[in-house]
Amino acid sequence: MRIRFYLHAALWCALLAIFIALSFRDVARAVVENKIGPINPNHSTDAYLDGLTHVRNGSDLFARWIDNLPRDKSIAIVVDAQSSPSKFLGMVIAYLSWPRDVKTIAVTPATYARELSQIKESSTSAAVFCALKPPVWIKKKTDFGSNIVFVPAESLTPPQ
Amino acid sequence: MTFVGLLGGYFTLFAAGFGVTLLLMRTSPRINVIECFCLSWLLGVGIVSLIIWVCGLIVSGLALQILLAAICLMLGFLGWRTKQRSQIKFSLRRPNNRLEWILAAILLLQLATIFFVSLKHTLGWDGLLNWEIKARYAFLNGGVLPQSYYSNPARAFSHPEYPLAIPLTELWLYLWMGVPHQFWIKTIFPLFYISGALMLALFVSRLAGKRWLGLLVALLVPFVPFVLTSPGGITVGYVDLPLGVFYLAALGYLLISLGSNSRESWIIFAALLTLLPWIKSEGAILWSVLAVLSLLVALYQRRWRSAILSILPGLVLIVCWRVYLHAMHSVLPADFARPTFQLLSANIDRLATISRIALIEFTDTGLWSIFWLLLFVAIIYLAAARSFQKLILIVGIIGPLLLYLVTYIFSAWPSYTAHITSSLPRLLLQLMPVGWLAIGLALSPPKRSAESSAREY
Repeated sequence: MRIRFYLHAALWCALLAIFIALSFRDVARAVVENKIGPINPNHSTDAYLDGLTHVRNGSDLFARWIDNLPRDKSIAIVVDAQSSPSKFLGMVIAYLSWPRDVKTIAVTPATYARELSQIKESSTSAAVFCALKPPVWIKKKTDFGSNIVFVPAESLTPPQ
Repeated sequence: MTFVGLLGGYFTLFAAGFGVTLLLMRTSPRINVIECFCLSWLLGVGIVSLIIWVCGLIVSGLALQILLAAICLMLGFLGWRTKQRSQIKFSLRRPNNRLEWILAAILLLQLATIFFVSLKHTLGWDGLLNWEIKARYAFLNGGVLPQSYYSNPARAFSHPEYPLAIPLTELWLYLWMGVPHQFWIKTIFPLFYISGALMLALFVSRLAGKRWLGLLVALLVPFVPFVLTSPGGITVGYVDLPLGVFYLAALGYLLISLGSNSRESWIIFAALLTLLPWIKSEGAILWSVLAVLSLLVALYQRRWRSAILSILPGLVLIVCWRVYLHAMHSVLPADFARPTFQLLSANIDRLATISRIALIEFTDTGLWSIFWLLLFVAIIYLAAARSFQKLILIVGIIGPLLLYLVTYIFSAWPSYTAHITSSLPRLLLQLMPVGWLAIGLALSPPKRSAESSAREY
């Protein structure tokens, strides 16, 4: 009985020692890395916009831009269907656009021009290009940091 | 003012949970203070979110906040009065020896550290875009999620069909803070971790009869790297670990009830079981496993009425939520196809690949260290013990695991392997807390039965 107890203790001590040894460095790193703050209401969205577009206080700046748009029209969010950062940025923009109606348009190089031509000026106030270069014919546009471009809906129509 | 509001939100939420806990435990002569704290949090989250959802159908804005605050305080008052009338005593047993003192002190330090570490991260993808988004939109709409949110395909990425326990808890704190605050809202997630770790320590102590073992097992949990280091862990506002904590608590009380035949443990089990499908969609799977287990326990203990009464509220909640989503014209998820025998037979060959990917996941030491090996050894120990209680625990771990894996047969993703690799780790995280319960029981050489020690700790 005593031998059984010692075997039990030895087995679990060995297993738990391996368990802790394998994870200790990762867990310790998680404890010491990063720091708290800034303590602000847009803590997470600001951090994402800063990381993806290099814009500080991006959530507030975006909210100010969106306030200037007509309320009865939707916002087209144009993302690259093959790029995760672009799609993620599109979701952050959709998140921040509330309560405006949004339409997300995922494009590929093959469908880009066709999808843009289907955006109707009558129902859309503007398009937001997320980590995606707007077509060259678009002249009136505003850069929002390095990865977002605002385009008024009337500028989306290609020249005849 | 924001911080004072946050404290007000927590106070009312805990008051509601405290009241419900005391009402549910009114037949118990003593209530462990730590157990009461953990249950106050878990039941507070459940009751506050459910009441916001139901009351939100009738009122909104300040009226909703005042009504709910009054209900929370009234529940707290009712619970306290019941405690006074029933002469229930709070108890907090001090550690028995130097080892328990040391382990308890380290655990406290560890929990404080995890709380601190959780505040250092941003809300992750799901934390922000699946969960917090609903709280923010409801806040901006007077406390109620508008129908346009559910039916807007452009916001379908945020899974409008997900249940609302966590978003409406976040909303409650937002209403008190007066602003949707992405920093302070992160404080709710370490509270789930703390409740889970303390409940794990209590369950292992009660079921194994050794408090030092409970404290030791609770101390080991954060050494699973996934908990602190990966997207999906407790630091980024995901709901998988909170769901796992609810599952642990429900299964733990079922096991205690089985060991001690205690009525109040069964009642608390029933309350926590009801809340499982309200935390996350997968909660319905965990609910169904526990419903079956409660029927098995009912068969063993001949308490059919209690078993059926414990299953019914959860079933009603699942149906009500489905009806509500239908009424809101919610965009429904396209992750899984409707399960049919035809699809099952067409995709049955996926099982080999699913098993292979699962094995790769179990052996990923970067995420899990050797947690799954520990659990495998623990299950062998428990199976060898040949006890009904331990059999129930084994089924409580293996049952949901198999169901989770089998669901990928019906995955509608273009690449079902991508579906597995992106979601399986988080599904496994939901089972990690009960896995530790199994390890804790396996660590203990069988000496004392749960019956004799259940109420001691």
